[in-house]
Amino acid sequence: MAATFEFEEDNGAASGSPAKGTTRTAARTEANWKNIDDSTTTYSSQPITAGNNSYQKNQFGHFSGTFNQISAGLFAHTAGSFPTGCTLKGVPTCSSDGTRYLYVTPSTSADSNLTTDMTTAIAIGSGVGVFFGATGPEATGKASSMTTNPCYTNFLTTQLQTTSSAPAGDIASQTLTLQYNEN
Amino acid sequence: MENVQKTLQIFCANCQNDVPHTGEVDLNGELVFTCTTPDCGRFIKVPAGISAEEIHAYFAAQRESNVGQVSIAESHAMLAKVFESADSAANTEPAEPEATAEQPAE
Repeated sequence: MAATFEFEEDNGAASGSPAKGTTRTAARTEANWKNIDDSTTTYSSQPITAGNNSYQKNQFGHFSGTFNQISAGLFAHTAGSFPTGCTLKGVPTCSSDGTRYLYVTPSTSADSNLTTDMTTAIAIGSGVGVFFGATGPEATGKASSMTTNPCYTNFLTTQLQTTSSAPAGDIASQTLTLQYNEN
Repeated sequence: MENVQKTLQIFCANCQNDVPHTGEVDLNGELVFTCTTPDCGRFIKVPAGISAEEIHAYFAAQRESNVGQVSIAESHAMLAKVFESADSAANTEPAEPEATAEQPAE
């Protein structure tokens, strides 16, 4: 037997303590950076105007099914390239509760808590560290490995930032990878 | 009077080094620092309304977050280099053995 994995996404105003999104959507199969904070609107109807930023995309991993332990998490942009004037920012390495990204109400302001420049595709081995915990991505108790079932990653939040030199039209498809060990 | 654009040394994730960045305020009032390395153009955006101390703290945090990234392009270049060095080693003629004087048997 194996662990069951899915990406999930939080949207809406920050609520609760620790904060999470008002809406949580399971089984996400795509992530589009756009000019609206939801998981439903077609990206082409909410484009980002050059010079502006997308709303944060607050996705995270959810493990269930059968497993003993989930560990050694890494997250990176591993394929695809961005045009001039586009920068993808992401969460820093999570190495403790104190370094996990804390959910904020998504907005188009540049998020200064997203310090990792994910614009260039890199080897997953040099991606940011990901921790795991029970209850949800927002919860305390994050650790490098987790036996609790179900368990969740910390938030794997990203934001597409642009300058006025960003070209019109869709960007190419990008691959963001979450790597983990399961046993 | 000469018009010199001021620059700041900031860590660039693409260049993997502290390099000069120009600074400007965009239409949203956000501060945009752009790498001046030719063909790089990577930029760092800082939200409006934060203090100079917070901006420098952000620069330090983004340095820590991005140092040591190994790009897929670098991996491709390294692979090509490994094959190239293997080819050149295979094509190198073996060196002539050094002449040695025979020792007379006792």
